[in-house]
Amino acid sequence: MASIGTRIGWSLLCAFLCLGVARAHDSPEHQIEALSERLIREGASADVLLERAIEYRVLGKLKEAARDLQRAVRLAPSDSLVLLELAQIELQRGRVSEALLWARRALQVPGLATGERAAILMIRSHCRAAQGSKLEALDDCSEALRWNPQLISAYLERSAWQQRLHRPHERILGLEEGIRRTGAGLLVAERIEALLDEGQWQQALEAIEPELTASRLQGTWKIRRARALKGLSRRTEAERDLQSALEEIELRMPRVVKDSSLLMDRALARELLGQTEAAIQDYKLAAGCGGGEEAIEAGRRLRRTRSGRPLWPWRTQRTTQH
Amino acid sequence: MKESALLTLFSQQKRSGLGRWARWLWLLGVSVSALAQNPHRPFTRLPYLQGSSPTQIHVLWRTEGPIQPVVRWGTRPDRLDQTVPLAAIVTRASLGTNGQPMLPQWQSLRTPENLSLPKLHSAPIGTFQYEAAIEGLSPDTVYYYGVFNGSERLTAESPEQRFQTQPKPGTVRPYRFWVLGDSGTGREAQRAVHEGMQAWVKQDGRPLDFWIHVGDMAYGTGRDVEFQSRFFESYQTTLRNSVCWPAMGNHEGHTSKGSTGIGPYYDAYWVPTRAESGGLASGTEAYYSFDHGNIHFICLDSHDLDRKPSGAMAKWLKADLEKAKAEWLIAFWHHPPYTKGSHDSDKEADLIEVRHHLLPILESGGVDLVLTGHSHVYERSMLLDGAYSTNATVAENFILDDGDGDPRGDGAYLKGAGLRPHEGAVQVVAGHSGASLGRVGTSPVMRRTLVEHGSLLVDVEGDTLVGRMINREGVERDRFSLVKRGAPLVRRLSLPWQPPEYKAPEKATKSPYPPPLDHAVLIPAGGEWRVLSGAHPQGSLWTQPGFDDSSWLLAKAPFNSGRGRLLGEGRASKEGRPSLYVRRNFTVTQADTVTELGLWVDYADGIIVYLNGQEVTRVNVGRSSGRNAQGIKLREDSGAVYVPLGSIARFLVDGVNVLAIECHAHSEGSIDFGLNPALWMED
Repeated sequence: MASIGTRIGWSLLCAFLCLGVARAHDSPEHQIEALSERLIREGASADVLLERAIEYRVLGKLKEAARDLQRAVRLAPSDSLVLLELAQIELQRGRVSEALLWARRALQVPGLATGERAAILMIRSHCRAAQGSKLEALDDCSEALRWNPQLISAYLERSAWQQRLHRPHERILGLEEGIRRTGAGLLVAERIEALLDEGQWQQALEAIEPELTASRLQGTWKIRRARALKGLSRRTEAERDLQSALEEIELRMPRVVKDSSLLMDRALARELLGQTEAAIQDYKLAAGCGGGEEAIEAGRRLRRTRSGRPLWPWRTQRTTQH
Repeated sequence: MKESALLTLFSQQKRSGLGRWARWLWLLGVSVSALAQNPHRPFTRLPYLQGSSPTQIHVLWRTEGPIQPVVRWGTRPDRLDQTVPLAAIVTRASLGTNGQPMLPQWQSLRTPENLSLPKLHSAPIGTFQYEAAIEGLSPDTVYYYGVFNGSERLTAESPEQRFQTQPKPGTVRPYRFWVLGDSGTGREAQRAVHEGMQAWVKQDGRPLDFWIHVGDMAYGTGRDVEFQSRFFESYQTTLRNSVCWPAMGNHEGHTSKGSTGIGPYYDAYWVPTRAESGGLASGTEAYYSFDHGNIHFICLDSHDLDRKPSGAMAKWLKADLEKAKAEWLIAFWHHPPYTKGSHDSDKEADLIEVRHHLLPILESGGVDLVLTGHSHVYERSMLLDGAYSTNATVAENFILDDGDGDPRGDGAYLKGAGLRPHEGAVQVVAGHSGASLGRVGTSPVMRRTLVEHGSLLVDVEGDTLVGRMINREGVERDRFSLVKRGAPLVRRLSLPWQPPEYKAPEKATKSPYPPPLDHAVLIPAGGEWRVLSGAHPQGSLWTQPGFDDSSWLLAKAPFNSGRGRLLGEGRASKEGRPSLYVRRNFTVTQADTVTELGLWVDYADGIIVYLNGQEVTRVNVGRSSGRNAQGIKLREDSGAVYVPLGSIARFLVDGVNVLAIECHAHSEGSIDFGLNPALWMED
């Protein structure tokens, strides 16, 4: 070996000079390789397996991710992060009973932080929804909110279940509680939707006006106002709002790949204008580009309404009033 | 070294009754040593600014153990005539759990009153965090502040301890902010990028108003200690007088969760959840928005929340955009929608989802500039709109201006006044602020790709935005500008300018892992070790604490063979290939405050390193260990290099630890065989 002193200096220089050299070491594939080496070197540990599972998930390799997480659970049966991740992955894989099992196990971990408990309850709610147990899904949302009253997504999902289960009064009260506790603007909008679904037109209109005034992009709010105005039999004003909303939506709609949130708005505007076929088409397009269950359900409802078989009677109100 | 000697004495004399005295002396030593190691005592995290608005700002800091927190402020550094009411100061604490081993001084803090405080997650035991909200301020005004323990002033009386409140929303004046990403390594490049920016700003004469971090501020897993040494200590001089607005990266995501709002990331920052700084209340710290003058900023969590339009985050984004009325709209998060740096946005699901689900909402809302990181490179796009495909990204018909955007070159990108949908945005990937760089190809939408460390400075003045990439030397390496005036014609280019194809080097140079910038030496080079040469130890007991190594030779490093001889005293093993085994104790006061351990080591040819009996690193040794070590490669380079030790959080303990190393030559006739290790702790 050459003199250590001179080599230290030389190596330091080299190290710093080489820092700028291109090296794509941070990609998920490289991370997985490095983590795999660590697992061989240090032996299996829950932390490293969790890290590797996350990288697998990024690559869409859910099966590999689940396998790592199952190994991690064996090593650290009380690691709530691992259990939470595993439940989520299994749910993504469509293995609902497995996801439910892991969620239940996670809930039994002693000393679980309140935020973690709420997050796990929401996963359990999704599992139950996937199994068609609507009441249990709703109960889990409510319980999650008892543990973490700041969880906006739980308020929104609870509201959606209450709507499906015909609990309009509870829905409005729940959202008002959420607004008090979090101040979240999304809940303000959802409460107005609840008022509209409930047919409280005047109250909804009063809540809509200040929001509309404060908005730069008014399309969504004009559609909401149109619903309220229709309910109050002010059809001309409602149609004016809908036409104006459609103009704004067209201006904002991307050329090639569509924006599902704008498609959902356009579908509703068209639905309210009585353009049922066009609305169904928009819901279909929205479902195809990330609109999720909401778009699918709305499209299905409208098709059934068209064929005289309403799926959601409480929402036919606005379609039958055209 | 004194501590080490005391602990050795303690461990050796434990049975003889002298142990109690030795332990007492050790604890005394530990306390003295802790005092010496932290010159900012009682601070363990110096005061920094968070969450500002025209009338409010937050000052956060941490101490070791509790203090009587007082924050005073005023418009002159020597006259802090206002005091933050105690009720406006939130205290959080890390007090460990029942039965968890901890230093005696922290045990006494586990009072019912302290235990009822909001919890800090994974902070070192004994840490208290204070979050003071200063309210009732005037907009666009410079104030000075000081932190006190009762009447004792803890921060120096300095004009640097200042903040400037935001102007009233809509105010048009020049604004400057700094953007960086993927910086939290604690390595030299991180410091150079920070200093490069500071030098450029100083020369230009206009200070920062605030800064944005697009994530990965605390490698490798966003632990609290990593936040401390790789973010808070690294940027202290900027943190004390300008607000950092953060976005969570995937590395922070290992220990912090957007769905729970729990973890070191959420402990570290205060961000608006109730529209305290403008925008629409998000109700969560995972994503938020704020206004600064005539700019509206949106921060998203691209790591672990639902990115779909039906998810809560995307719905909030849409609702926030409806309300945004500023002249400029800038969004930031971690995962880039377009990149061919160290990540590939055409292959990775997270990046594709961001592009497919979030960009359409933003672009139909009129976004002007998107800032991201994750990919360790600087990439800056042309004026771009509508490229949301889940397939490979193409530029044709999505580029609205294929010039370089440089006012000195092809000219600024032009957009209409105000926020208009689909008039184009510039995408900047700024993941080049500290981590090792990388590139896999060329994104067709990028106008500039630079594989060098640096950060981005953005100036907004009226209808003009100018972005500059400043490299680690403080040199401007890219400039682009956006001008929003009138109503220019929007045209889509069917054959836009194409960036030159990237050709990866045939033989990529593997750069050595850089050492941590700030470190303490736990075992010096040339230190004394217990050494076994010319034989192999039985099993793995020799790597563990409690092993009787008294029969091993006590010798000073370096251990090298010279011409076939080893240490002068030892012999090459009978199997032919020379091997060497060394072990030594070292002391760590509080293991949960250690970010990283690493060897600064000169070796030939392969080594396996053990911490308290657990293998933590091996280099150039294929399989197995000791007598059975196989696949030993020739070390091709020479000299000392830095070798980080993995998983120390799992194996390191308070007090005495044992480091053991086995070193093997590549072949029987190896003449360079040898070892000279030093142990460093990232400080």
